[in-house]
Amino acid sequence: MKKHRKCIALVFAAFVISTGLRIGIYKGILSKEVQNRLFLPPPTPSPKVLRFLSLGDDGAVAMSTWLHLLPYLGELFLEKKEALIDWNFFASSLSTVIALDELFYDAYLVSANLLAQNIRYLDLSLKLTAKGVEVLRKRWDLAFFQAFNYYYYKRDEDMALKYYRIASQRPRCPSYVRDWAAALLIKKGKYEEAVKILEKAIDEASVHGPFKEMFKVQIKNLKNLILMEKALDAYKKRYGHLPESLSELVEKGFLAAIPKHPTRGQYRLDPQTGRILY
Amino acid sequence: MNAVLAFIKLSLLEARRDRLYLGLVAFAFLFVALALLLGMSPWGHIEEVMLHLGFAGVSVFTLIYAVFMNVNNLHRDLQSRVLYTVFSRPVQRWHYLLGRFIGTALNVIILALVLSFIIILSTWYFGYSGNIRWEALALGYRAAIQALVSGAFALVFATFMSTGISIILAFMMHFICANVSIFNLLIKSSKYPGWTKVLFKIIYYVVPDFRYMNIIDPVIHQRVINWELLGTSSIVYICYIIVLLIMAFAVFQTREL
Repeated sequence: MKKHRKCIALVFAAFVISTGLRIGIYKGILSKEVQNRLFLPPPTPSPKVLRFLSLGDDGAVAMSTWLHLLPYLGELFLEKKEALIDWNFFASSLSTVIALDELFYDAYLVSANLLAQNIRYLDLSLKLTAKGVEVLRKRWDLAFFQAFNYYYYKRDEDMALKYYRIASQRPRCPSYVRDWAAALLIKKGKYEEAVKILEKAIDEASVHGPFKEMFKVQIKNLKNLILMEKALDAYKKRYGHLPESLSELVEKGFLAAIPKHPTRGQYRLDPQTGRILY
Repeated sequence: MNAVLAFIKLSLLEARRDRLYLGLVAFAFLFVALALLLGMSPWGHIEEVMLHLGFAGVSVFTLIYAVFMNVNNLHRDLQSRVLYTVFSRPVQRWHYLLGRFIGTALNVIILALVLSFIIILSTWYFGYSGNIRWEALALGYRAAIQALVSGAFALVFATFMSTGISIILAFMMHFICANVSIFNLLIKSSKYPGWTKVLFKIIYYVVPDFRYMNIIDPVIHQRVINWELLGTSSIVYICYIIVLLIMAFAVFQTREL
């Protein structure tokens, strides 16, 4: 028994210290910095090291890293302690999971939704999600989140459009994604592509009721716009400048009649920008 | 042939009686049970956790079992001088090694099969898809055949080295086999001198690549499984086992008991 006394004392001391620290964390006795240091799980080794040690079972190591990360995030979010998140640990764990198991859907989902919220890790989130979009070709949502992040956080409409296009081509993509894709295409003046996306959406059984009607109106509007844009181009080619109004297109024989917007009535031409307003 | 059969039976019998092997089997079951329990935790991914961690356990324990049994059987028979009695009869040395290896292989296959069935049935019972994932048996098969290659390495080392060194070297060989692709990177690197590159090249081409049988992700994520790859890699591994056994026979034949 004497032999084991030291061992028992050490175990007991470790238990008391760890419990004390835990209570300190929860009661807020310790400062934020100390809490952050203590609450943090041990750092995740790099994917290269883990792949080397995994003996071929990379997926199992990815899963263990994920199961290590998930309670950490869950605990902080549930207790509304998001400010304590160690983003470096979060980002490195997520990168490790994705590097070890590139088909791990949830890791991409967390990357696109949570990691993108921190501006410092936005580029990493976009990089990781781009890989997910490429690998998981049956998922529309990753491409949608990627498009949203590019549009909302990165303010890059071209990349957003690229991913909206991808999302709208994926199976089981909901109507609103197609609507958003079409809206961005219209904003960019790519009417014909927007028509194609909306027509495809109408053909699918998943679109019903108000969406179908809305899409039909949008398609008609876009077809009108395409027609008028072509007439404007032909006018500009012949006269070297834009007309004062749309009625000039009819007078000079470029259009049979000015079409009407399906719900808003007349179209107008902004002679400064050359854009058709409605 | 009768002698080989007798050694196979002996290995099977010993696996049921020896405390070391029974302890290993008990640990394997415990590990798989823990993996299954972890899968049932409220974090989701029931099937993925069960399959990933469960089959990782199968890989680890079949490897330990194959290496320990191959080394321990031979060295225990040598130390207890059973082999003197055995070889005084009309029994060839290779009969003994072959019988022992096949007996160990059968034990490893049975262990992998039982654990695989437990994991697959648990996944079906607790999982969300409601399907019995029979394709996951391929993961059990992968674990068993790779363990047998490492077991064959262990047998070669055991014919001329001590128990501890043989076990360590066998595990090291498994480690190298699982990371052979690194040698390809080292060959391409400009940091190393010419002769080391030749060495890396030899290792890269001679040592079996365990990552070649890459079926874990397709099975677990329900992608298309490349059965052809499974077949060709199996043939490659079986060829390696045969070559290693011939090496073990050759070394053991010349060894003084």
